[in-house]
Amino acid sequence: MARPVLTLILVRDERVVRADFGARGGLTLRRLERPAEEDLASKVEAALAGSAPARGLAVLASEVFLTTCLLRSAALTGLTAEEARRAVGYEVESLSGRPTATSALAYAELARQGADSSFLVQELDSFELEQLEGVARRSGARLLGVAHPGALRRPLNGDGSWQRIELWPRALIAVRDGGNEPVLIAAHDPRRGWRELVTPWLREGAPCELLLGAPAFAPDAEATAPELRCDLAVDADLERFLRAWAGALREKRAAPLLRPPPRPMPTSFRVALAVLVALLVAGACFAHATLLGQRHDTLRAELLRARERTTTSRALQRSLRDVERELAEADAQLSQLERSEQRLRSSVELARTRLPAILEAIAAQRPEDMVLQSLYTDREGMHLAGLCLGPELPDQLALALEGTASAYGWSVNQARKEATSRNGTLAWEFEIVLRDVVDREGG
Amino acid sequence: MMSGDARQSFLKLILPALVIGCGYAVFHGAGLHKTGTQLETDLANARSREPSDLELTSLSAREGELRARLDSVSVAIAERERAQPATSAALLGERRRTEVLAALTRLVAAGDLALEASRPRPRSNLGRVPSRLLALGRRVGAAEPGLWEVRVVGSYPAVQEALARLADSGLGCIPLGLRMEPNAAGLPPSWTWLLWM
Repeated sequence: MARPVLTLILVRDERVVRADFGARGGLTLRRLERPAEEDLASKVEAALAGSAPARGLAVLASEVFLTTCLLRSAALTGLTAEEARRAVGYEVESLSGRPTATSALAYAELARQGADSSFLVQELDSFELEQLEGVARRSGARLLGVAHPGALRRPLNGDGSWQRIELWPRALIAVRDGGNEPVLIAAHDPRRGWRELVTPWLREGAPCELLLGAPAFAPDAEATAPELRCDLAVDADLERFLRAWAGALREKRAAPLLRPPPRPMPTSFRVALAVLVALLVAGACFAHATLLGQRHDTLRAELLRARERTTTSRALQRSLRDVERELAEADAQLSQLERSEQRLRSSVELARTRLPAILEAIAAQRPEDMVLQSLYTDREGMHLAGLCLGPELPDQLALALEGTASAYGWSVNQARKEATSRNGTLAWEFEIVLRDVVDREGG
Repeated sequence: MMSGDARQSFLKLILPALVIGCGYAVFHGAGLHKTGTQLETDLANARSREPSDLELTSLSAREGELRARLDSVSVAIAERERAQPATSAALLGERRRTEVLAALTRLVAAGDLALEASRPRPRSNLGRVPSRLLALGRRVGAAEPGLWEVRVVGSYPAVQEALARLADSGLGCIPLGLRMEPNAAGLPPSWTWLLWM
């Protein structure tokens, strides 16, 4: 069997009803007539026995003291919730006869009337509330709240404008639409009429529901149309009533509800929780440090790589400059070697051919009227000497030799000549010097 | 709104965590954050100077190319230097003195010249050895220049022809100087050649 989503327990003196609401709106009712237990907790425990209740458990009990009180609106201004609760408690203490210090109290503001505010107050002994919470906990449920079954501020029949008179053991309650409308609560005696009591409060023309949670003064009850009556002794009416409460609880419009005070956290649990939170924070710090450390490692690796690449690039550029310089030097050395070899080759060729070349040139250029008598070389160069019949002939020869002499490493000096008579004929002695310039000019 | 007790209780609950968190933030987290910021700045600076892959590849390729050229030129230089003695010897031609003199005698005889003398001449005023020939001689292993004197008798054209053939002969002897002296009438002049070998 599926676990219900809400369990409501209605306690009216000796009558106890358990209502389990299913997830799809189904409702199971179970009545416990005249239970032997006398206290509220025992009655609830007896109602919860047998099958597991829903996680959420609400108790509606006529044992809860319900009243209204009037307070100065400013009296609660600036007070904490606990201080305001105590202030309201002191206000209703004389009515309920329960000391505020040992009572659980819940209140809701109904309406402002000038400088005053009207409050709906519910009160129960703290001990009883704690007992109820213990019962709920033992049965695997959580106590959503405890309230008097009366003064539910929503209609039992349809929507629209409504007002209702509720008869409960020891209490008569009149409530009407509008979340903040006043609620009239008075003592109830089934032997006496009550309609006159509420007539001034009722709105004219609006239908008035009658909720019978306790025996009623018959003449007054019969004055209400049957369709507006809700008798909790009748299952259909009871179901309608409980569904209305379940709806209010679901919509969180069932205030005020008596709720168990928050249980102080055990010291060991508090310490464990503090340690857990500290561990969580320490873990978060460690995770943060680890993540940052990993990020830093990544950044360092990238930085190292970038620097290595930069260093590599600089080293390559330096190496490139060195290689370029070495290559230039090597090229120059190779060119020098080539030039040197070429010069050597030229020098050897020149040395081999210069004497035959100049002898050939002399033989070719020598004028007819010239006799070459002497030819020798020394450290200065080559000397040509002889006789000729004209003073211009040595010059002609010198001029004619200039080309060949220059090509083979000589420079031709001006011819020296001197007239002389040989056998009665005028002749000219001459000397031409071809000065050696091979080493002197670096050729 | 949280009440005073609840606030105090909550604060006690989270106090150790707060101490740990604040301690971490102050003593470690701030340092980590600063380090991270510094690293990011350094990385940005380093990346602004970092060469691209293309630049590195280009530099590396250029260096390789230049090194290859350098190696090639170095090899060429070494080969030339190693080949210098052989090259120089080839330039000078046949240098074995006996062979050279024998060839010279044949050349003189073939040129219608009469050989009168052929002898070493350590010193002569007919000419001097050019410095490049001296260097060449040292390169091929000649301890000192060897001067040789040859005296022949013959006509001017015969001497000219003989010297031309000597130049083409490939013999390792080079004429440095000569002297022509007239002889008695009707006789061809005498010639003295100064040869370097």
